[in-house]
Amino acid sequence: MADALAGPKTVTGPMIRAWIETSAEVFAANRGHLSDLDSPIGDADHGNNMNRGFNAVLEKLPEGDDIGALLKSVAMTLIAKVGGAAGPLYGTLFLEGSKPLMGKTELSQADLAQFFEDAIAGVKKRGRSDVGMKTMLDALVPASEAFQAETAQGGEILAALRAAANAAESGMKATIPMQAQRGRASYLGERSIGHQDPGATSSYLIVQALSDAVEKASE
Amino acid sequence: MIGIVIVSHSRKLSDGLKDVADAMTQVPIPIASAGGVDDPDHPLGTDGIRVLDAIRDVMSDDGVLVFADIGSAKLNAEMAMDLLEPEEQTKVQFCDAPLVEGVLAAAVQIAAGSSLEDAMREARQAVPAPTEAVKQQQDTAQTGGVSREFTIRNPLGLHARPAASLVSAMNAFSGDIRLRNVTKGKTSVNAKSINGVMLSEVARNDRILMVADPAEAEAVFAAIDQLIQENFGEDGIAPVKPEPIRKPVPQPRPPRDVSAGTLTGLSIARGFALGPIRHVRSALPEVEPVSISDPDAEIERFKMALSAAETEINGALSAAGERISAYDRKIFDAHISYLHDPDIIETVLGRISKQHICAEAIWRQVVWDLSRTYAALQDPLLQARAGDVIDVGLRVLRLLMGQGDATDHAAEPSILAYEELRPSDVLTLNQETVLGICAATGGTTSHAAILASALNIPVVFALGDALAAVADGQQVLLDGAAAKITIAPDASAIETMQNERKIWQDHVARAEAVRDLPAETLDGHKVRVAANMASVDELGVIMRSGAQEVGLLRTEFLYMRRDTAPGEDEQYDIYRSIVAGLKGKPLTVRTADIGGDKPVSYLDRPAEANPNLGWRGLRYSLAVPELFETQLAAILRASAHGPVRIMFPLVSTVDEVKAAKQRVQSVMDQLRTRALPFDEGLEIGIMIEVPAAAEMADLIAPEVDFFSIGTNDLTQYVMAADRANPKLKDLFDPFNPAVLRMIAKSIKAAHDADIWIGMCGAMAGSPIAAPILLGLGLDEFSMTPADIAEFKLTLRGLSLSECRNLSARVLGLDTARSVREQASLFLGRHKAMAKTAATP
Repeated sequence: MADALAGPKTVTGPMIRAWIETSAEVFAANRGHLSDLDSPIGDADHGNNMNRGFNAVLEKLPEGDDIGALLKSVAMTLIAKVGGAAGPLYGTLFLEGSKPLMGKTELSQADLAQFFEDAIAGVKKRGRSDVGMKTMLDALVPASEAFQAETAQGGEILAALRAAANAAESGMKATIPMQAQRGRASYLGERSIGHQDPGATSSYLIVQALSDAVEKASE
Repeated sequence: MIGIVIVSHSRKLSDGLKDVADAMTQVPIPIASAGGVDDPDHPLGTDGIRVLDAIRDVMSDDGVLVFADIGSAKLNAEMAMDLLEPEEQTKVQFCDAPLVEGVLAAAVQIAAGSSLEDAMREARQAVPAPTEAVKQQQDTAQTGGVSREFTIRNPLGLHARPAASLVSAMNAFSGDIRLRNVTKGKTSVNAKSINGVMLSEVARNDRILMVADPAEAEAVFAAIDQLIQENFGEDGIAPVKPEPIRKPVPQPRPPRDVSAGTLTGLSIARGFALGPIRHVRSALPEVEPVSISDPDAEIERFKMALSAAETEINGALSAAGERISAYDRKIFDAHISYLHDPDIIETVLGRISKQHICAEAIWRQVVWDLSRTYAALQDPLLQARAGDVIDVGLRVLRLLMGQGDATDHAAEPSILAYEELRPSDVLTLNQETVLGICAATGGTTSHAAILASALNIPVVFALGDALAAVADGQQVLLDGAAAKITIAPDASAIETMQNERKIWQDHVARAEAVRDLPAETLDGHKVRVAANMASVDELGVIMRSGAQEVGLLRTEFLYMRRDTAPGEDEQYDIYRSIVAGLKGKPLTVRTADIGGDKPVSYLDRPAEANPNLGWRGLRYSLAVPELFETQLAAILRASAHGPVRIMFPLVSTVDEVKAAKQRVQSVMDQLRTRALPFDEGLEIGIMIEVPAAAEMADLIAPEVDFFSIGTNDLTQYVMAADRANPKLKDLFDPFNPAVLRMIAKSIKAAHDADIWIGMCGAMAGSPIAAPILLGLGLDEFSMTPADIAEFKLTLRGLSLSECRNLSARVLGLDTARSVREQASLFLGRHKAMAKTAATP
């Protein structure tokens, strides 16, 4: 399978820029869907918030191919513009992930794996949460693990990213039977069971956007 | 100045809250509002960058407190704090308090100049508690039980001994019984757990809610009613009060060396000892957690250790016999109840079963955690219980580890040194071979201090960590009164000590011999010696002290540490019980001197820049007539049961005295209407402590029946020297001729008007002051009970005529130092003449 793909060996600045732009498009398209998911267990604003955040991200995105600087800009804009808990959580994700990448214009597969790890560690700390609590992490952690597993088996970047996106999607769906333990949904207790977590959904969308953007750039 | 940042989802809310906070503080404090997001369509949310900017706007070296409303606002506040530079981060604290209450409480604290920590603590305490109705519902819903509320009336509240009585009564029932301190807003605890009950900090007049199984609720409540009626067994047995920190015995002494070879601490019991130090290690040892394979056997072993510990305590108690009073025995009853505490036992058993770790390690951890919990409480009485917990913990640990008696004292007479003395250490002491006791830590209110002070050997606590460094077997000199040990004393120090000990022992013997004799001079002049009293607990000590009366009952204790002012009946009960306990000796009740340095939460008093010159004493009483009249009515009613006097504090003018007397008259009228008896001829007097009152004493005297001089306040007002300021301690000296002249003037004014005059300040108990005050004509000397025998001994060696010459002379001196020198010389000449037997 992996051999059939003439995928890239690195992820470049323009690919990251494309990822960010794709994410903005995806959140514009899924704004209503995300807010619908958020209405039974949250305050029905996750779609609006992410859309507003990524619109602002596009406006403020700096010139150049410094990947660290691009991701840090995403972080700072989301912190200011998202409004809800997703602001500091996604802000932390991009900020922590960007730190080792400052000055880099292209990322190796190992850099990307490191990005996932740092980003996830930041989110865990900020949200005082972990897998199984019906949060973003239920999509992000399986994605990161799948990326590493595929890499360990010799899969190239694109294959690893596709595996990550698939794992994120499964992880997102796995939040449906979970009882929320963090955020406003946790106030609902057992009534949060049966609803897909909006945060896990937006995280899946972001991981899928990365995979799509890299695939499109390498076509 | 400390800054505040308000993080809210709503800009309107954060702006509005800032406005309210600004309006509440008279000094402007830096407050930044960081609410909402920049999106006109969806303005609700938080903006981490706005928070970051806000923090920097109000940043100074004094620090910044950040408050947030709900979940994601808190996340964004923390995000912003993470974005600060490291040196900025050290100055910023997130305060997890309810937004509105927290910000307002912090703003007020900051405006008043509080530290960041204090402002934060106040803000956190602004948490509104769940309403009583909600809690009550929870209590009964949890257990399916029946609830009833009780008010605890015994003076000590549910501290060690009364708590043990309650727990023991509750353990006679089979169902769950819960207790919750409603007054203090505590959570519900198992009423069969001694620690649950004690950690509820139930003080006198606290209300508790008891929840019991419906099947036995009536019986449970009846048992509690009975305990309350019996005052939890506190009646009739007075606690031995810890010795106050003693002043050095006022004997001529050679100057003390303060070389590196001495350690100084807190005096628990006076006396001298010379001998080798013997360390008794009694801190909880570290225990290595060892895995076990058979938890059931381990549990059995643990239970056997508990029951062996109980047998040991009972055995030691019966061996101690008469040495331990009935009241103090109850300390050990509390120890035994720890061994039966279901909360502790269940925790230990549960962990043995789950973790498969040896009982020693688990027991040590549980005991340690519990002792830390006690140590962290605010009430010093409860803090001191940490020592009791460790004491029991050590005993069980020793038995579990199969070790013999830890206090295996050598036969050679020695001075025992402890890290901290525990009650059972005292119980197992061999009095033949223990010359004295010293400890690195410990306070005067611990059970161990109470027990040790009755041993008739010198005891000194709080000598510090350096004590541990003194080698075993090292010769030391222990001076209980000076609270000092001298390490490796030389021959001359030993000789000095032996002389001092001899003098001191003779002196103690002579003082004891005159304790109950009249306070009479060689030439037959009699004065009255009285005791100062500040709580009901002191009654027993006062009755044994040789006091003829109580010259000052401070009543502030009635108003402290509670949520509402004490009512008339409650106060009446207390005054009446004191009157009854005094068995005919007069009781002088001073009306409450509530002022700036004695804050009372439920009285809405303004903060004062200068509380000593502020709205306190009689000034405050006259302005708050309900509080004042309630107390007057209670005192007057108590006067129907024995001799009682009323005394007003901090009087400045004749008008104040007249107004206070009118209040008394009006309360008397009300009592007559209510057909309640009181002593129509009860004496009314005032404190002389404001220079204006001393100066006008001739015009005030005809208005009252007596004066009592308060030397502490009089000295600080005459000398304009704050008594709490160590830099002014030479000025704050009642022996200053200026103060003595004020005293002389007051005494003369009293006698010219044919009324008596006493003194209830610290000076009254000072032997050096005795000849001067006697010479000036003072009629009543009221002091700490512990000083009375000593005072009588001094007095009985003096003659009034010579004292008059002395006092006339010292009024003409120009310094406090020369007054003290003259008085010391005078005493030295008369000391040998003390009468030790009754006047023939």
